[in-house]
Amino acid sequence: MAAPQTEEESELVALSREGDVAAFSRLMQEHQSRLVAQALAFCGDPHQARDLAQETMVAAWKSLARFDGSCRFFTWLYAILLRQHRKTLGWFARRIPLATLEQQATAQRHEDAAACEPRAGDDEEAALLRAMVTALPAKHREVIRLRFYADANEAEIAAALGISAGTVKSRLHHALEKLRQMKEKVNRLRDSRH
Amino acid sequence: MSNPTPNPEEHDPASISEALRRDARRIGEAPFDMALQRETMARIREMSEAGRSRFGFRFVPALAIGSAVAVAVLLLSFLFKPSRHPEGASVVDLAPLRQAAPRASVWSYEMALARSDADLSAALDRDAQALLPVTPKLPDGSL
Repeated sequence: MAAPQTEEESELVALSREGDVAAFSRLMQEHQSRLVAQALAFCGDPHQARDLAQETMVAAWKSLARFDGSCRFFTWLYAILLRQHRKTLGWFARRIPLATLEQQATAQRHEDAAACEPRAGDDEEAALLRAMVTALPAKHREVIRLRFYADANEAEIAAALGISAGTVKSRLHHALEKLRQMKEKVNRLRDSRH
Repeated sequence: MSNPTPNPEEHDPASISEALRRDARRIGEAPFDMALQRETMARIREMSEAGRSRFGFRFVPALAIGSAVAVAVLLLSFLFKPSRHPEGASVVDLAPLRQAAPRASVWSYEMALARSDADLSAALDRDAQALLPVTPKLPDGSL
C-alpha cells in the first residue's frame, strides 16, 4: 500500500523544484527500491530494470517543474516509469497477439522444467497475469498498473496521466473486462490441451 | 478431463482485480542499490551544471550582442539622418514673393486693356516680375 505524501516529502519536492540536487537525491533514495521492483516486474530483467529506473529518475528531474502536487509524488514518478517503459518497448508497445500469451506461459513452463526448478502455481499465475497486462493496449495497461501496482486512486491517475477522471474510470472498466476475456481464453486453451 | 462448469469467479472482473492486488503485494521493494543512486545523481548533477553553463552561454552574450546592435542602430540612424539642405540642391529664396505687393486685379487688367495693349503688357510684366524669383546669376554675370 502506498504511503501518503508526508510533509518532509513535500518539502523535498519543493526544494528539488528549485534546483536543489541534494534534496532530489534524498527523494530518490526514498523511492528507488520500489521503483526498481516495479521496473523489474515490467521487464523481468534486472539490468533492464535498473536502466529503466535510472532513466525514470533522470526524466523526473528534467520535468520536475511540471509536477503540481495534484497526485502523490510516487504516482507521478510511476507514470514516468510507464512512459519510459513504453519508449523502451518501442514497436512492441503495441498489442501482443493473445495467442502468444499461452505460448509465453508454455515456454516458461518448459524453461522451468529444464532448469529443474518447477514454479509454484502462484508464480505461474502471476507470470500469466503480467503477460496479460502487457498484452493490453498501452492506455489500458497504464491505468491498470497505476491503479493496482502504484495503488493510485482514480483522481490521482487522472492527474498523473493528464486525462479526466471519467476517462480513467472508463479505461479501467474496459481494461478489467479485457483481462477477464483473456483469462477466459487462456483457460479454454488450457482445457482443450488437457 | 475438463470441467464443463465455468467458475463464476472467472467471470467476475473483481477476481481479476483481486489477482492484480495480490500480484502487486508480491512485488514489494527491491534492495536499495547505492551504485544506481550514485550513477543517477552523477548524471543529474552533470545535467544541472551543463544546464547552468548553457544558460550563461546563451543569455549573457545574447544580451551583450543585443545591446551592441541597439547602439549601432542608433548611431547609424544619426549618421544617415536625411539633411534639410542636401548638397547640390539649389536654394530658392521665397521671401521676396511673400513680401511682394498684391497682384493687380482682373478689373485693373481690363482697365489697362481699355487704355491700350501696351498698358496691359506693362501691367502683366510688372506682376510677373513680382511673382517670379530673380534668376540666379553666376559670378561672371552669365545666366
